[in-house]
Amino acid sequence: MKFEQTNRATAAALGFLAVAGIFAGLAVAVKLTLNPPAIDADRAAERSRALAEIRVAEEKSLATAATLDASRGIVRLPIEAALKLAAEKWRNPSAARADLNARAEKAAAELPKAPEKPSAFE
Amino acid sequence: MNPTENNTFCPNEIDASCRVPLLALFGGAALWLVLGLALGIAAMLSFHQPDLFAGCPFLSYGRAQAAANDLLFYGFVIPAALGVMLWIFARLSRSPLALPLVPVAAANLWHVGVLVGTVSILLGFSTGHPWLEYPRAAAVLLFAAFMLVAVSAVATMGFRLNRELYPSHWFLFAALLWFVWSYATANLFLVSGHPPRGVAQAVVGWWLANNLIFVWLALAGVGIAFYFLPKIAGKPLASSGYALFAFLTLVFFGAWAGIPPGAPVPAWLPTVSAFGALLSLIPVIAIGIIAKKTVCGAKVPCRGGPFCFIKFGVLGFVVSSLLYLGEFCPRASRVLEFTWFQTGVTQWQLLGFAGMILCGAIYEILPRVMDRELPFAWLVKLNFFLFAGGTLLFVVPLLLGGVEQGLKLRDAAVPFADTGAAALKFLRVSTTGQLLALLGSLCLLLNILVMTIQWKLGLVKCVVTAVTAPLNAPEVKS
Repeated sequence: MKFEQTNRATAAALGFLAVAGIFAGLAVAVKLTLNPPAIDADRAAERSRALAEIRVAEEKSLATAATLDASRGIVRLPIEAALKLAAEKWRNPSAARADLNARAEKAAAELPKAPEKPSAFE
Repeated sequence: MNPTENNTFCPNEIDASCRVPLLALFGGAALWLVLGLALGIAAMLSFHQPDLFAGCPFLSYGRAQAAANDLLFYGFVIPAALGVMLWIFARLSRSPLALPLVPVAAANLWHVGVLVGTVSILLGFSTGHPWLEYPRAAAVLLFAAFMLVAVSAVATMGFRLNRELYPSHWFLFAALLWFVWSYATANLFLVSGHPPRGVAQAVVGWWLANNLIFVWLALAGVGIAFYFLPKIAGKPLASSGYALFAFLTLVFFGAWAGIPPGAPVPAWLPTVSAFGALLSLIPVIAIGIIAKKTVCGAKVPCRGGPFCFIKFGVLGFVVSSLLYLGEFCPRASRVLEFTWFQTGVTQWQLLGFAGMILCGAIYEILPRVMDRELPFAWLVKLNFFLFAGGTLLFVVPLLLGGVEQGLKLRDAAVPFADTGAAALKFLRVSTTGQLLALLGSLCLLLNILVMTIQWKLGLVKCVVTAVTAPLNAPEVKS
């Protein structure tokens, strides 16, 4: 009889712990399921997106070659190639300076006017 | 444990097995009750002389009132109720307390948790959520201690010889589960990790407050009353069927209340809450009828003893519950919300209902558990009149002041400052009531303290006698 009683008491205590554990598990599950995003989540996402766009644009402008202004002959070089070219040219500083001035003048020179469109009434 | 031949235990053995855990729980509870009421008075003094504690931030109203409320609920009501539950489970099981050392450790853990929480609030580290002000460390201690006591109580219940479950079993077992569920869930949502955003925090807070202050108190207090009323009155409980009906309706409908009608939340929430409050009137009325039928005709003198405490407590339950549930009526809420009325109802539930029933139960249990009379038995009567009179003098002016304050708040012609000033005369009377309740609680503390000291002195005397006793001749080695 005593053994049976002890078993029942142990089972009751374990049952209580199990029920309490189920309650706790349900509460944790609800908390994890309904975990709301932070109050500034939208703004943080927008800032992250803008930063990513800037990084992509930087990467593109630093690592690729492209024609920037075909009429003036201005091109963009990858940064590695540009560094090598600059280092090569500036071994002779006076020639490099003269070349730099010439290129600056070419870049700043006025473009010839575009031919006027013929008028439909002439 | 010394089972007799037919494997049953005599009441003295059962009571003796509860002695140390109950002393640990009741002693701390009485001390926290006195400190809680004293802190409550300190908080209310801010309204009588606002600059009294101007240079003392930890006694400012916001901190002292929160600490006082938590001391009354977590410091007094819960440990006292747990102690009474342990004894009732052991008595109903007709077997000694299972795992008696576990509740002793749990009681000490609980009191440390209350101390840590109260000091944290007074130092300004409250979480800011009503009834959940204790920081995470204190909450973990309280939860662990509650689980330990609950395991001992449930194991004792499983140890019972008679397989029948009494109404007290239903209520008290549900109270054990209810606290674990409510307290853990609310702490998980509000105190740990990322709390929910915006008004959802307030909704969780209201849910917790309703579950603790209305449902849990009702389960524990009524469960204890349903054990003692028939026992003292010498009559069976009026009807187990009624009791089952009251229990089920309380559990099903009680937890739906809690969201005030004026809460800035989707309209369905306060509407469902008001409907839940309306349906919760059913168990309150049923419990009132059961108590009345059980007590009426009992030929037991009621001269300020435990019977008076418990009868007053049950009456306090019915009245305070009706007032509490009335707050969820939209028309009443428009007047009573944000006034002293809510404070009055809460204090009535804590002191007039739970406090009275627990004091009565402690006075009934202590002499049996300690196997000696109370050291100051005459203080019981004084305690009853001071505590009952003090509680009424404390809460009734708050209720009346709340109504007057609410009516003035509704009147656009009355300046806002005048609405607060209108309640001042009521607060002065109310503080007198608090003082009387404090004096009453000192009677309880004195009885428990002196009884504990006497018991410890007895233990020391036994040890000294055993050590100094002359040895018998055969025990002496030559």
